[in-house]
Amino acid sequence: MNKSDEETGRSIAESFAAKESGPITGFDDTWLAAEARYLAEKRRYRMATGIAISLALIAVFIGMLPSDGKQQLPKFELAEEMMTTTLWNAPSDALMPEYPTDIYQEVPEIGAPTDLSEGTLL
Amino acid sequence: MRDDDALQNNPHVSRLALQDLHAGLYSWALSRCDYNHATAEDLMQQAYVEILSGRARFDNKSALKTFVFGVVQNLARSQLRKIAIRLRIVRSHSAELRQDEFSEADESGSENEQIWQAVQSLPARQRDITELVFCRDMTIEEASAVMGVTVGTGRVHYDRAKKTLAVRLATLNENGAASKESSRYE
Repeated sequence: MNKSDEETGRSIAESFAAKESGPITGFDDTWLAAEARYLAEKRRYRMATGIAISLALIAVFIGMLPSDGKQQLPKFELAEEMMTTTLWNAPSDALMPEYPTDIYQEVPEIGAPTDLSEGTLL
Repeated sequence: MRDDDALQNNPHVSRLALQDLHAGLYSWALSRCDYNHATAEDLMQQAYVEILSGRARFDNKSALKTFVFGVVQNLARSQLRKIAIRLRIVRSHSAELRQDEFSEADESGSENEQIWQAVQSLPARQRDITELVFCRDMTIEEASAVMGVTVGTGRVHYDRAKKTLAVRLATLNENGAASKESSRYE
């Protein structure tokens, strides 16, 4: 660094020193605040870990509880019941409309004469 | 370093050593936060938390000063960037509003203020290396380590900053001499 560099450096340092004048928090105060912050951070971390472990244990415990009767039916019993059933309705049948008259109520007899009587079938 | 003074999660760092560096570190934090004392205080506390917790671990391969300045620099970059930008926007906005008031003040401003303005007008990296070398008593190597750039890059920034500042400070001196001369004849 030559002389002009030194002069430049000195004036820059002076300009910064003038700008930085003001209350500077002492080391002890800052350090104590940092320690408190660190301890609080550690406490929060421990609390979060504790909550996570508790939740996991609760989930495992709930999973181990016996469930209700319907869910306990063995699958092969259901299969057997279905094998003996001859009538089956689709669950969506309940949604189908019911008509007051049934057009297929009178089924024509097989082999009946097809001669017309007064314009209509006998 | 006394054994009982060393930090639990950072065995190569002592509380006393940090205490010695505190004033310079605070000034560095202050300049990282656009000279806002509350933000600088917060930044300092967070830097100490990082060191206390061992998340920022000193491996004794460089100087402690370089390490802690680097911690503050990285924190300022990552956590407080948005705050600093917001502060700058607010300040530049208020500066625009009071431009007339400032233009007069600039002309008659103190020499220190003008030099400081000249440094602040440099690009960020050049400004940082100028501050670290001239105001924080660091070598270019140490300053480069703090800034997270190679020594070669650091030298380039330093050289450019020095040249730009030399021109600006010479202009300031000429203007100062001219104004003195004119006031003598009035």
